[in-house]
Parts: sequence; structure tokens; C-alpha cells
Amino acid sequence: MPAVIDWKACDGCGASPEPPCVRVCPGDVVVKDFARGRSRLREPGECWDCYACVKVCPRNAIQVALPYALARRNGYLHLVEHSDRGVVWEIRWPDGTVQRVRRPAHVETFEEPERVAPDVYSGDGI
Amino acid sequence: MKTHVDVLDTDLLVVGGGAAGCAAAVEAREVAPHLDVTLVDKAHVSRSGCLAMGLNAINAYLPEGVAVDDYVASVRRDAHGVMREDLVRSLAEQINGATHRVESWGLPIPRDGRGRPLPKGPRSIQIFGESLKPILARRVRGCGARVVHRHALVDLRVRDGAVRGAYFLGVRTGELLEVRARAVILATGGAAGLYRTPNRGDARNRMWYCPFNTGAGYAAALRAGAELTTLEMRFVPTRILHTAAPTGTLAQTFGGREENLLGERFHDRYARAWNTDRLTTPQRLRALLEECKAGRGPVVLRLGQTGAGGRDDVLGAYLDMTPAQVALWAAEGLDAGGATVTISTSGPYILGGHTGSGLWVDGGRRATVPGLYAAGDVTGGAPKKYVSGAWVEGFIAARSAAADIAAGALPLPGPRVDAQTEERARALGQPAARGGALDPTDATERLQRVMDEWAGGHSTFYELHGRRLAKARAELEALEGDLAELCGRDPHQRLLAAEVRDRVLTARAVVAHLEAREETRWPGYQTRLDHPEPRDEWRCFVNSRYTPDGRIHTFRRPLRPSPAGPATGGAPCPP
Repeated sequence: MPAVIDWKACDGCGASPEPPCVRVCPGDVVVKDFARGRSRLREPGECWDCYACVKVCPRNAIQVALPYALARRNGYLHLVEHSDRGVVWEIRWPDGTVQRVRRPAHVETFEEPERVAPDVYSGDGI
Repeated sequence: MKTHVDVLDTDLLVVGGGAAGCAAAVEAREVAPHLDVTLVDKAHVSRSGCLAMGLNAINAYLPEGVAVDDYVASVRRDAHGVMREDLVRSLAEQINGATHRVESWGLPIPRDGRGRPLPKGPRSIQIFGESLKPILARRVRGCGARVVHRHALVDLRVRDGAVRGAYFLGVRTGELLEVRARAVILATGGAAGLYRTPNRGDARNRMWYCPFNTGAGYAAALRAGAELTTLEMRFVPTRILHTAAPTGTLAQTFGGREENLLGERFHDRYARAWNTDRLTTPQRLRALLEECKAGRGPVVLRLGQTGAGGRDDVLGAYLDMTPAQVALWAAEGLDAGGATVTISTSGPYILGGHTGSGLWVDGGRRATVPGLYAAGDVTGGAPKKYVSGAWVEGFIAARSAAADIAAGALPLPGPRVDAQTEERARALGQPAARGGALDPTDATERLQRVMDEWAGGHSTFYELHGRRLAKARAELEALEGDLAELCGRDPHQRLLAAEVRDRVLTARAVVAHLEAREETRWPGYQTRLDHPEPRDEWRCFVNSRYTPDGRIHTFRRPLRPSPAGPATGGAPCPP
């Protein structure tokens, strides 16, 4: 039941070589499709449904969808906000009522340079 | 072909940026500010590993009035006697301090009117832990350690019989990073994905433990000659049907009680049959499995009255830990108070945070190879350490490594890029060069089938038999032979190839341990159909080492070992 990226809302974070969704994925499953300027999953079956990408998306373009086999059509959770003020979720119940739940949260996504070692060795014959 | 190698020198290398690794990096910088500390994570520290979703409780904590001895006794009872008293005691003495240290880093802990943390169960407290990983990441960033993201452990770097760094695969670059270090703290987590789980297709990674924890640390430690313990104590948790979300929150915080299909509370029946006043965790699992085998499953948790917050408290607790569960409730509905939640089982998983599986260490969390230390789920002998125990082990390992470096016991690494490293780089490049025939995903699926069918997986109620295990051993050896044909078209596929290689070696070690223990020590976790009773002669550890000819050598160690020195054997297991 993988993350689903709405390509109408996703803009690939513009020129970013590594959008937040790509950066935080614990399984290297979310990638940026540079040709189309969007993020996508390389293989939905590798997704753990951890919601890390959902929480950091600045466009709110990602949802996690439970597959029909498990939850029929309504297995969604809507993220309203994720910031240092908290994380706010919206639940749409089967009877049509809508409920919001707020929990404490902290945002931290520090960046590190991709190539870390200043010292690159190219051996002869390797 | 040409493959280049990135080289990085550091004093102390921490492998893995989860609870234990973050704690180790911070502590090393605090007790030895002059040390150059490097933490390498296969993903990004802010959301990597098993805590990526968050956490709603500290499950190892001594509330007011609970003594260290009581805590140790409760762990011993639940481990059916097989645990390292010294390690568990050190955790019991330090888990509260570790918890409040992380609270000072920003973790919110709700408290009652007298300032006491709110209990979850008898030895656990509630937290607001949705952002536990980002909070740890912020502290690591502030501690002055170098953090290297997107590099997955390939192997430890062994020189002259000691661990002097490690090799990593650049997840983005597909290239080799050699980190040379005076000491290495292994904090790579446990192993998921050794066994097939009930979810299929796009949901196949919807499991409880992090599917990106692949046993890399167990496998690398084996290849480096380190000793492992208690891999046969597999963790098979009861989990919510479909999502594999934890059940402890419902059982402990919201009064959930297990009932079978007929509405019977069956625990007491098994307690009487097994002549005990209270079932242990493995016994509760076994009882659930027996009910299912008898046609009285599935089992549900019937929630008690949920207190003032009612349904909202349940939702909040799960949103902080497994949001997918709330998505399922959004589809199915959830009544406050008196609701039932269908449960099943998940795994088996191998991890030292819940059971005793992992590296064999001394009190300072030194492994049996000089220069190597271990903390968290990759470390064995101390069941039920959970996240607070992982922090304690990170702190202890960092202090030991810093002290050993200061004492000059760990000399500087040898010459730059030597023949061994060149060979390593060649091997890493090889699959792509050969264009191989075996897809890593196919190899993983084969592994999971073999383990499920022959080594006690979900489809056989986790039951084991010596003859089935012999078949598993043979199938795994054949599979390992095929891994030479793994393909690695791009960096991600190289990562998957490295992961399945580690999973297969870990699985071989698990099967060797399961074969060795000819009794049933932990019903449910390790039920041997051909040896259904516990036996006094097996009140000991089963340990293992990888031999130069590629076998897993198992042997026994007594429950109260002398301080672990160099690996010198121990009594052999019966043939």
C-alpha cells in the first residue's frame, strides 16, 4: 500500500536535485524523474508506508493509499500540516464525519553533500 | 573496468544512524571532544530505520517503586531464563537516565499532576514521539560528528585481525566508500525480510519491523569473524491484521484483551495447562497460534473503556507510531470503548531489541574482534531493551571505544588503499560488468519462500523440525551459490543485491542456530516439533561463528560467561 504522488500537485520541487521526499525515504524508494520534473516511486512494492515523504512534501502532493484488497476504497489519511507547531491529520470516517487530530512534531531535514570524501582514489587496473 | 574508491579517515566510525547510532555519536563527542567521529547511514538520519514512523512509548523504563532487581527478574522470566544478566542489569540501571537525556534533546514526555511520566504498561511510559528521529537527528547535527548519508554498509574492514573501518556502497553513486577508522561501533539494526510475510504485491513491505533493516550488521560481523548469539530466539509479535501495526498500545494503554472467535478469553486456560500463573510473551503467542490451529481463530483484541480521551487517544497513539493503521480504521470505522480489533502475527524478525539475537559482547559492548563494538538491535544477549536500551548501549559503546582509543589499544589504520580494498572495489563492480542473470528481487523472494516453508514461517505456524531445517540449510547454500550471478544495473539494484547477500548469510546463521537448539525453549518463537519440551542442558546460549571455509559453526556458552575475550570456542553443540 504504497505512497501515491499526485503529479498534478508535484512539481519536483523545481530545480532541486534531491527534493525532500527523495531525501528522507528510508528505503531509497522515492526518486526524482528528471525528464518529467516529478517525483515517483521506483517500485511501489518496496514502500513501507512510513509516511516520511508525506510529512515533508511542501506541496502536500503525497498520500499513502491502502490497497483495495485490504481496505476497499477509503483507506486514506490526509495530512493537513507538519511543522514545528505540530502534525495535523484529517480522518474521513465511513459515516461522512471528518475529524482532525493534532500531535506534537518537530521538523529536521538537514542536508549533507552527496559526495563526502574529499579524497577520491582511482587505482590503476581497477 | 574502472571503479573508483572514495576514502575517508576518522577516529571512530559509527555505522547506522538509528537510536543506538545517534546515541553513540553524541556520547563519543561529549566524552572525547578531540575525537573525529563519523556516522554513516544508509538513508537520511532524520527518517531512517525502524523509527521512521515515530514511536508512542518508551517500553523499557523503571517507574517509581520498581527496583532494578525486579526489572531484571521480569526480563529473565520472559526470556525463559536465557539472557545475559550483566547486560540486562546495566540497561536497567541506565534506561531512565537515557530517556530523560533524550527528553532534554526535545522529546516530549507527557506527565501527570505530580510530574511523573504517564504509564503505558507496568514498565513503560507514554511519549509524543512522532518526531523522535528528527529530534535525534538535530542532536547529532549539533554534536560535531560528521554525518554521511546514503551509504550502505557492505563489509567491515579487517586488518591484522582487527576491525579498522568499513566499506560502504554509495546508494546514489553506486561506488565504494572506504572509511578507515581506529574503532567501529556497529548499530545497523536487526533483520526483516528473511521470511515471507502474508502481504503480497504492492503491500509486500507492509510489515512491522523496518524492511530496510536487512541484517547487514549480522552478516558483516560474521564475515569479519565476530561471534553471534541467540539468533534462534526469533521475534514473532502479535500484530494487527493487515497492517502489522503493534498491539501493545491497545493491550496496555486501552485495556485490550484477547478473545477467540467464540468470544472466549483463553489465556487462563493455557496458563492452567502449562502450570503457570501468568503467560510469558512467547507463551501468549503460542496460545494464540493454538487457538488458530484449533479453528477458533482469528483472535481479536476487545478494548476496555478507553478513558476520557476515548477514541481520540487511540488515534493519536497510532498516528505517532503507525499512521497506516489509522488509515485502515478510516476505512473500517472504530468505535470507542468495547471495539474489537482483529489481530494476527508478523515475522519472524531477528533483532536484539526484543529478543536476544545479535553480536556477542562484553559489558562495554565490545564484540569478539578487536576494534568492533555493537549497540542496539544488532547486539545480543539483552532482550526487551527497546529504544531506551538501545540508547544506553550506544552510550556505553561510545565510552568503551573512546577509552580504548585513548589507551592506545587501537592503532591508526594501515596504508591507504591496499590490495584488499582494490579487490573489494573490483567485486563491487563485477555484477554490473557481467550483466548478471539473477535479479535481486527474485533472489529475495526465493529466500523468503525457503525460510517460510522449511524454517518455520507464518504458513507453518512458525513450527520447526530438524528435517525441515536440514532442507532449509541445503536450499540456502544453493541460493548463496547463485548469488554470484546477481545483477546490479544501477546503484539501487546494487543496493538490493548487497541486501539479499546479507539476508541470505543471516538466514543461514539463523537456521544453524535453530538446528543447534534441540529443545523448545521459547514456545511460538522456537517450537521444535521433534523436541517439544525445554531441557535443562539447554539452559545456555547457542553462539556461532563463520568459518574460513564458509560454514556456520555453532557452539554453547554458559549463562554466566567469563568476560568475553577473543573468540576461543566454547563447548560444541551435539552433532
